[in-house]
Amino acid sequence: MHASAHASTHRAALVVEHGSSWGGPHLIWKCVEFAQATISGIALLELAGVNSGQPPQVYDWGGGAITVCQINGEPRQVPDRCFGPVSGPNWSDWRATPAGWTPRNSGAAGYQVGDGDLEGWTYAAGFGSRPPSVTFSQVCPPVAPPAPAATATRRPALTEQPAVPVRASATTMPAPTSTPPPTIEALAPPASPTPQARLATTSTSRPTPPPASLAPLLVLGTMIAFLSGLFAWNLRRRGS
Amino acid sequence: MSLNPLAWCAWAVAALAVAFVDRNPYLQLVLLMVILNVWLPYRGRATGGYWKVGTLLAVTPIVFSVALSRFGQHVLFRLPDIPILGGRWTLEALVFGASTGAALLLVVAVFGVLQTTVRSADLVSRLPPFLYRAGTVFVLAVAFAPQTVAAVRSISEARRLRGQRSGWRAAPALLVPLLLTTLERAMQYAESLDARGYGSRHRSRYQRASWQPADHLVLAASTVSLLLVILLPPTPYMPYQGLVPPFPTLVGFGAVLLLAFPALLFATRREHHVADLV
Repeated sequence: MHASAHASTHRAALVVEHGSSWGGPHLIWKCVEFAQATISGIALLELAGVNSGQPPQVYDWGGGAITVCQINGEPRQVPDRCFGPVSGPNWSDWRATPAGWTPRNSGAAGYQVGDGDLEGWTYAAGFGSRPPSVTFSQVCPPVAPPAPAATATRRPALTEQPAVPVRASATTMPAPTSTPPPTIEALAPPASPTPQARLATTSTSRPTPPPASLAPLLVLGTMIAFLSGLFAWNLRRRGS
Repeated sequence: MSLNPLAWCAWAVAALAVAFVDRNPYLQLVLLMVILNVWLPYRGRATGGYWKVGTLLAVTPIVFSVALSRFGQHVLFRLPDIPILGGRWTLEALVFGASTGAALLLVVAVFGVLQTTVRSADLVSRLPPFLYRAGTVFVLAVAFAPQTVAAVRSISEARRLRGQRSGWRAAPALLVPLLLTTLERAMQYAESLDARGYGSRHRSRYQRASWQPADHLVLAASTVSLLLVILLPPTPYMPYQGLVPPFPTLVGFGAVLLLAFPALLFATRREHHVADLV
């Protein structure tokens, strides 16, 4: 854990690596500041604003388990019910440990991120691919302690760092969208939003189911009637 | 009406593929009806045990899923903080367990149909020469377990008739007669194999099964069904993502309906062949 620059502000680093076929910036780094001692993984994504300021598309399994389906617009079209084919690409969550990147085995809402933590998200098929080798200080460089007066008035804020290609293949650099000025007020709410609020936000963008049709039911009814008739016919012949 | 054992094997492979791949409740219902139709002409050949095992296997995943899974949004009830069992019991977990149990029931039902329609000796006789010995040994080894159970029952019954104690307390007393019975059966196997020329260079057959048009039809229908299931799999049903299952396509229904060919053949055959069935 790295010491925070401010006594009341904590920082966590976030690395988002898009899939190989992604047209936009391949790698995005974000340094997220927050006031709480710890925040959930989903809150880290929301505070980072990697989804153009919108909460990431998630799927609520109930019981507090949440899976992330879309980050920063990838995949372009969220599959029906959030998930595509099992063997297809999906977002995987990683945390940096002294031994390297380790996959998270709980949903994004099932763990807490604290000061100095480094989290990674990658979009790949199967069991996912490890994020590039990054250190916390690369994403969240040390900052000089602010003046006491500024510290007293400052609220938790979000800072963004343009990505730097750390691998030869990662030649694309995300265009720095908007580096907030030092005096910007917090983009994030003072407390992590409730899961219900997040789901209410994300559920509006889900595709609405098509209107029910009677044709499939007729097909099923016809098949059941046919098989029942065949059963009765064979039962009669078998008994004869 | 007797189909070639290989045609039955092709049907069983296709039916198992449908049971494993199609976890859609609509397709599972149709497949169960198809299997019942196919099984009907051969009922009465001691298949009750299979349905008991299938029912038990169908219920077990429901119990485990609903008792151990805490995911889902439709809460049936909540239990206090008891280890393992405490927390939310959800409808999604119940439906997921039912879906898994239905798949297991279908698998057992397919094997039940195969058991009633195909003799293991017929399958062994159709193995290629280099697999014949291994196949024979395998079939004898597989048959060892149920025959041992039957031997235990007969020995226990004989002890009861003699007024001796039965039940688990009498288990040590069963060991010696069971061992002698098993050794005696093994000797009989060896003598039977030797009398039939097992291990000689050339293999003889009492009756060579022929391919009839019905076998070709069943084989073709099963192959098409298998290809449809593999190449055009239906939308998977995930109760945790939505309780209402997606409706299968006509291709999915067709793949299942093709498996009803043996029942259709039975329905369209001539009356005077009824006696062949029993």
